[in-house]
Amino acid sequence: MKRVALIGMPNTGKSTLFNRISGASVKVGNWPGVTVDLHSVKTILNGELVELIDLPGIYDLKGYSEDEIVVQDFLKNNQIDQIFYILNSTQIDRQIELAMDLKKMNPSIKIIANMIDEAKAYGITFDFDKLQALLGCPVIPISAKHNQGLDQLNKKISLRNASDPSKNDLKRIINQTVFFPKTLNNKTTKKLDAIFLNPVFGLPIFLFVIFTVFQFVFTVGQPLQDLMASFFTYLEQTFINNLLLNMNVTLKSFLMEGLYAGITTVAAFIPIIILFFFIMTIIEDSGYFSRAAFLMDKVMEKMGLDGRAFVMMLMGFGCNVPALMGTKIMRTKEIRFLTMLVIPFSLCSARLQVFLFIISAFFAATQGAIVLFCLYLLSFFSIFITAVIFKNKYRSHEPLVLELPPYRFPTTKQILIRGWQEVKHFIDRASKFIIIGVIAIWALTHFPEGLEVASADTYAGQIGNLFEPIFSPLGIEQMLIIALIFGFIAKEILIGAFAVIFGLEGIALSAHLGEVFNAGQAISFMIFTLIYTPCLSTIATLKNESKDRLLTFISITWSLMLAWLLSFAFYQLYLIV
Amino acid sequence: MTLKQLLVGQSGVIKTLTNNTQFNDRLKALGVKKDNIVEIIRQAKFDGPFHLKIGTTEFMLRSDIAAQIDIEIITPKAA
Ligand SMILES: Nc1nc2c(ncn2[C@@H]2O[C@H](COP(=O)(O)OP(=O)(O)OP(=O)(O)O)[C@@H](O)[C@H]2O)c(=O)[nH]1
Ligand SMILES: [Mg+2]
Repeated sequence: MKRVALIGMPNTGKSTLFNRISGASVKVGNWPGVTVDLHSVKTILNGELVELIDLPGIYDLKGYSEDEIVVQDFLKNNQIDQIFYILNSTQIDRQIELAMDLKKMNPSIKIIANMIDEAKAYGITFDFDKLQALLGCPVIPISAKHNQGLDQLNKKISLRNASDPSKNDLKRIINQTVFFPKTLNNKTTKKLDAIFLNPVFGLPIFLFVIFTVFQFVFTVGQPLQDLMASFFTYLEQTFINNLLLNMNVTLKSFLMEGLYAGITTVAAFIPIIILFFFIMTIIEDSGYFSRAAFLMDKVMEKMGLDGRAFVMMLMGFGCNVPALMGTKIMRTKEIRFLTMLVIPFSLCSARLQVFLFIISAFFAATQGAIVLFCLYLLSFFSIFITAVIFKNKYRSHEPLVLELPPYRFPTTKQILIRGWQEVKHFIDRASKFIIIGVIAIWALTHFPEGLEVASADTYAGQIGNLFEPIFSPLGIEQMLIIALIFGFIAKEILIGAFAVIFGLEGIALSAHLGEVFNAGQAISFMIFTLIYTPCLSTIATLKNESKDRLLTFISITWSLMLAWLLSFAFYQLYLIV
Repeated sequence: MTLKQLLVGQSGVIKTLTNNTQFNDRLKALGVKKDNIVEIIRQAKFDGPFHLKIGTTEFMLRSDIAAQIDIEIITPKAA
């Protein structure tokens, strides 16, 4: 089978083209370093079955960050029948040199001049016929995002063999074939930067943006979640209960108070997840991440990190796992490790669900939004304090230069696909971890038989008792300790656990929680949940990516300690005040 | 003079890069190389990074690195 590889500098649209050709849905984003691993797919190109490969972006052929090494290894160890060299047409003058370096290694190369839509809008014009004749290889203008010119990818172009141009020739060739206007027509980006990168207001605007986003998710998502929850309750009362009338009591309890209650309580969050990732996609594709890096770099430098680490944290708001992988773009081990150490404190969407759940049980809507925002601030704070404490252990001086791409907006299709991907991801997790967790908690709270459910003598109660001395100063009670233990696997289990432990779901569950716990206990529980480790996948990823046992160990023990200390401090203060 | 000494809105012609050759490769790939013209768009507060522009590429560069890059200032045209 023919092997076709997409190679190019970061953020040039390789993954967008990969998705276009193959119908796949690998992640796309307006940030250099979205793809950090190789993706391969079998697809039809030019009526022929080929293996198409998407790769991380590279700046040159000898780069030394891990994502660049992925590409070098690939080039070294694989026979490639066709290289598609993707470049950003608006930056052809600086991206063409790498194409010529690649051509020397492998002459079957086609230059794909992507983002031709942007080039047009900027007022840049090209003489492609002349360009490809002078370069001695095909140059095909396309817009991967807007699906223009893709039919030309397969066209056979015969060119006379030109000798490889020298670097000076290259400059001349570009001057003869690409015409830049005197002033680039990129007013939108300029205007937006004047606002978002404003030396005084930039940072406050950033905080405001974050606050608005979560406020939005909160106010729009909450009613949707209630609706889902009511629907599941309705389903149970009018339909499922009738089916199970004659069933064995224990089995029925297992099915309804265990599986059904646990899973539906978690599933009620699907609309919020979708909504959240719609917004996340828009932000990631807007180019605002790079601006956040610019705004925060100085502060991050003081903590031994840099602006990129801040962006990883923001990515971690979605899920910590890809954020940890994203650190591959860092070249120095120390700064990469320090970044990996702080990412797990980033309040991911799974923890967001837990907090929305608890907050809605204890606080009115306006108050709730503020509590949630404070949890985000606490997430930042944990990151800062961790970095400051460990910055001498992982000290580095990696010089930093980072592209600021123009502002972009994702297409509706891109947003929808991403939302769908996340739902799939969620269902995937739910069907593994969450079901297992819910079943285990049901069993622990219902056995030995004959006892009151979730009472002190059940297995759950006994385990809780064991840890009680550690958790009672935090205001966290016996039964919730079991929930926390399983929350170690995945945070959504916590929500399911509440449902199972109290044998309730939906609105009834929220009401009940509000009666048996006070607000201080609820907040203390949330603080602990935020900090004590995100989930098993995150820890596994951290270990795989760092290949460092010490770092993994530090990460786990330090987060447990910090979680305990902050919950303790909060709860004791709460008791006094 | 160095890139760091340029004021916001001024431009210069790049003469020499840093003494970190590996990092210079990265700079070159972004267009930071001899004879190219660089313009300072803005700088973040507290001696934070510079927002620079070379041709159609915009990027940020820490100010300690800007202090290592030599440039020749382009005398601004009369307004
Ligand atoms: N205007 C425009 N934007 C595009 C086009 N192709 C891709 N983009 C946008 O460019 C950004 C980068 O796209 P990706 O496909 O993630 O780029 P990549 O080359 O895979 O990037 P890395 O994986 O980070 O190296 C995204 O915001 C895309 O939506 C295009 O043809 N026109
Ligand atoms: Mg990519």
